Amino acid sequence: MNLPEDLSYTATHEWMRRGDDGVTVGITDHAQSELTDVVFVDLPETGTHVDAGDEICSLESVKTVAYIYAPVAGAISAVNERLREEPELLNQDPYGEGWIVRITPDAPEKTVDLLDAAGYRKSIESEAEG
Amino acid sequence: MAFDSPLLPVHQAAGAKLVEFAGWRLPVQFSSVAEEVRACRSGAALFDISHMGLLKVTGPRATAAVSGLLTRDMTRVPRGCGVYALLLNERAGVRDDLFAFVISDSEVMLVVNAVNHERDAAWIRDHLRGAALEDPRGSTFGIALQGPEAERILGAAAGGQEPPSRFAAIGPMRIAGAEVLVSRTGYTGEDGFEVFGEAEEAVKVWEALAGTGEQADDRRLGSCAIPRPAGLAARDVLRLEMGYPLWGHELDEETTPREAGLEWAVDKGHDFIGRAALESHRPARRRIGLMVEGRGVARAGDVIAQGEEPVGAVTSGTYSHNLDKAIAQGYVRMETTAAAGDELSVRSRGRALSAVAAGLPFIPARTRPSWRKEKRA
Repeated sequence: MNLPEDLSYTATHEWMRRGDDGVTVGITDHAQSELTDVVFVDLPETGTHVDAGDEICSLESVKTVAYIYAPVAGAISAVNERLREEPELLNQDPYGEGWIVRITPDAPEKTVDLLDAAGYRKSIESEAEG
Repeated sequence: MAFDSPLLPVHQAAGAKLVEFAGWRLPVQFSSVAEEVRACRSGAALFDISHMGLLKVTGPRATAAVSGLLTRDMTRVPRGCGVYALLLNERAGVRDDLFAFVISDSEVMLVVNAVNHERDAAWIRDHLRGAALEDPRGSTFGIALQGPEAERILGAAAGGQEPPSRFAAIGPMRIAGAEVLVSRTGYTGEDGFEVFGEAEEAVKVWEALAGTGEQADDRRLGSCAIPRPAGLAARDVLRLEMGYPLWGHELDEETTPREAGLEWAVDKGHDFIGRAALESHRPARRRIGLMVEGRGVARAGDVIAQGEEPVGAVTSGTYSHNLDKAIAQGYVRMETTAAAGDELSVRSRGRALSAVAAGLPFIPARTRPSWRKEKRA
C-alpha cells in the first residue's frame, strides 16, 4: 500500500500536505482502491469556509458514494478542476494529479485528529479486522 | 460457512482486490473497472464465477421431476441445451433465477445464484419428486470467458475442439488436460462461455484460458487476444448495461415474473409450483431502465419520482463506461407512464437527479442465436 511518509492522514481516509500555498487535500491510495473507479467528483466552490471535520464534497464511484471531510478548518482556496472531466486521476494518482482541494487554514490552526503514515496504516488494518 | 474460490491464489498473485460476497471471497477488481468492462466489450474478459452454485438433479425421470419446480418444461429441452428459468414460490414470487441444462437423459444441471445456493438446495430437496439432488458445493469451479474474442481464445486453449455453437448449448470439452463442461452462456450480453469443472483443476484451466499457463507457448497466441481478468464490479456494470436482473436487487420472493418483465421465461402449457398464483396475479409495479442525465449515480433504494410524485424505487445503479452515463434499474407503479425517453427524477441522498426512462437492454446483446431458433427453423 502506497503511504507517503511526508503526509498527514485522517481516520476518514483523507491525506493533507502542507505547502506555501496552503494545505492540499486528497484521498488515500487505500480509499481509491476501496471505492473502485471514481466517475464523478462534486467539487465545492472556492471561497467556501469549512470547519475541521466538515463535509467538503462527495465522490461517486462505480460501487458507492463517498464523502470527503476537511482535515483542517479554513477557506477553500483552490479546487482541482481537472477532476470534473478526468475523475480517474483520483484512482491513477491519488497523492499527485488527483488532489481535490487546497485550503488556507484559519489562524490559529484547527485540525481533526491527524495520523502519520504508520498510524494510518494501523487504523486501516484494524478496520479490516473489525 | 465461508468458501474460498479455488482460484484465490491466482487472484492474490495478480494483486486483485478481494471482497466477500455471499460467503465467498472473490475478486471485485483487478486493475480498473472501466478497463475490465471495455476489454469485455472489445476483446475478452475472464471472470471467476466459482461462487455460482451447481446443483445436479439426477435419475431416469430427472427432466420431468425438475420441471415441476421451474417455469420451463425441461422435457422440451434437447440434450446438450439449456434455458434461463425461474424457481418460484407458491405465491409466484421469485425464489431464484437460474440456468438449467439438460446434460443427459438422466441429469439436469442447475446454475444458481451463490446467495441462494443453500436455500435452493433445501427447497428443491423438499419439493422434488422422483429424482435425486446432488450438491457438490465447494468442490467445483466456474470461469466465464466473455467477449467478441472468446471463441478464438477458447479454441486456442482447447486445441481446436469445437465449442457449443449456439447460445445456451452445453457440452464436454478438454482444456489443459481437465474434463470440463462448457456452456455458451454468460452475464455480460457478449458472446462467450462458462466453463465448469472440478476445483482441483481450476488453476490450470484458468491459466490456459488466460494465456499464462505452461501450455501458453504451444498456443498460436500471435493471432489470439489475451483475455483480461475482470472482477465482480465489472460484472455488475456489464449486466446492468444489458438490463439483466440480479436476485436480491431486481428479484426477490415478493416479486413475480410478470412484474420483473420475465414472462418470456415462463413456458405456456406447463405446470409448476407458482403457476396458479401467477395466473391470477395482477401486477402492481413493473421493472424499467433509467438513464441519469446529470452528474450523479442512482443507487439501490433511491426514490423514483415523476414530477413531485414518488412512483417507485431504484433497485440497482452504476456508471456505464460504454454509455458515459449513470444507468439504473428500478420498479415503478404499473399505472406510471414511463415510456423510453419520458422524464423522471431520482431522489438520491437529499438531492434530485434528472433521469429518463429507458428500454432494456441499454446496449444490444451480441450473444449467438439460441439453439431454440435452430430447432424452429
